[in-house]
Amino acid sequence: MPVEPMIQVNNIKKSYAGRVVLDGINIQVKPLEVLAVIGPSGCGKSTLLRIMSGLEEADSGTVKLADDNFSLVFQYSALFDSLTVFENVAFSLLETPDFGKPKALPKKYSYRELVRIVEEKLRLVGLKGIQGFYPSELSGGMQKRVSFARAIMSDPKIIFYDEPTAGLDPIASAVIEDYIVALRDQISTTSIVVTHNLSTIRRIADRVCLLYGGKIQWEGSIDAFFETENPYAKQFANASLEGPMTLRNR
Amino acid sequence: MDRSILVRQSQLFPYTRFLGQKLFEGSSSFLYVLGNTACNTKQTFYYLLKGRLTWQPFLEQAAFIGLDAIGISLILTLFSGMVIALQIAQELTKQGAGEFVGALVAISILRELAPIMTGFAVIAMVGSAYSAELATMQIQKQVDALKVLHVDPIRYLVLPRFCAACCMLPLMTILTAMAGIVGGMVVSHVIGGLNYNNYLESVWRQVQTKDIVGTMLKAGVFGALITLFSTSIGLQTTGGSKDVGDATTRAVVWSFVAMAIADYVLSFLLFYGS
Repeated sequence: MPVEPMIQVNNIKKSYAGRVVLDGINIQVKPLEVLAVIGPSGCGKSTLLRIMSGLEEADSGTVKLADDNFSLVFQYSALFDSLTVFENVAFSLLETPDFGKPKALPKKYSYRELVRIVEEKLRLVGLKGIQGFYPSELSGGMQKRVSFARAIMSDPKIIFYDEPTAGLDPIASAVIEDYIVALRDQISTTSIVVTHNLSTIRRIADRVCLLYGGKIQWEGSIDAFFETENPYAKQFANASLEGPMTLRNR
Repeated sequence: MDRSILVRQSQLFPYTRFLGQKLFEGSSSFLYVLGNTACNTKQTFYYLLKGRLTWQPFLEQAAFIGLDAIGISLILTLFSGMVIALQIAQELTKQGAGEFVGALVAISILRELAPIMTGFAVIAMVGSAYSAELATMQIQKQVDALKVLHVDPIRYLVLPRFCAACCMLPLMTILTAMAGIVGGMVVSHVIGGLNYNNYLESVWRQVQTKDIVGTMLKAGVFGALITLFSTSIGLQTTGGSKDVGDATTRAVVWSFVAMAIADYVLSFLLFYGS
């Protein structure tokens, strides 16, 4: 019996000022799968992610999520800099939602319960004792992990990651990559990771989707990606200047 | 056809096209800011009427506005009162109309200068800070993060600022008006040799309840306009650090213009013919 996909993207099209960014994108993601959407900078990866998470509207096409309970981890963490780590992580429990129905969030928590939940979520991403700090007092890697903790507060079934290792050193990147896999295993999430980092793809992805020129140029398993003869995938995997992807077309 | 005309036209063409483009960009940006602010205003009132104002951010913003702008607005209005007294006290006393100095200073301070100077101070100290803060939040995707967490940025960011400004500006205006009247009193005494009691009697005689209510109403409207334009311009910012600077400048300019227009309309409605 075929498994119902968690995420279904059908024929998404998007243009900005006459420039086509996405031209008929179709993606299906199975439960618990980690799909890496890759491509050179400016190819529309983040736009696709913003459309999937409802932050932007497509010109045409549909996005179907099997569960409304989803979350998005932003490229540069996007933590609220006027709030402490505790307030950032507990944000969705402290604020009454204005729209949507985040099912997993019961109405009221006592302060003690909030502290316990925040501690637990921070522990899941390997942090403790930083609840009173402001984001500006943390390193980039720690900020990223706090944003993970904030994202998993509602135990989401789908997490979108926008360039989760951007601006991090290789070791901090590896830590973040391991947490993406760990979160998938611990809270059973389906993930779409937008990246152009080859080490990230190798470490976390089950499947790869290469975006260029507004279209999906190659799609397949992680093992096939490094063996395929597809000129786009080959150029990207070898980080080669020779190939169909040029700077001019980006 | 005269060839020289063609040459002149071709030389002028880039400039006329440039001017045309600038005019188009300017007018579309003008309409965009107006439309966006109108939508945000509607949304702000929607949340206000739904009772979605939370007290803690409201009080924080009220404290921020009060502490940040009260000093500068007191100085501005104090000196405005002193300048008016300086201009009229000696002359009116010479003409035997010294009893009107207090009234003139008080009426001009209450009806016009106190709300305007307080508004200026709030635009400079608070409006610019609001637009810069929200523009930075927008660029750093913090506003998107709010939306992902099911929180409307208008309710969370604009509503407490809007309510705080609408409440704080009238209170600040009353304080600054008192400073302006006192400043005028001191200068009238020093320059025009007017007795303090005569000055204050003149003030009490002329100042009516509607002057005080009118000035508070004006200040409340100024506070609303300043926050709505500043936050709306901040929230529609895209790009980078240069755009944050541009947004701040635009917020200040729009707030000044909106305040000047509102000042005329309100003065006409409240005081014309009285």
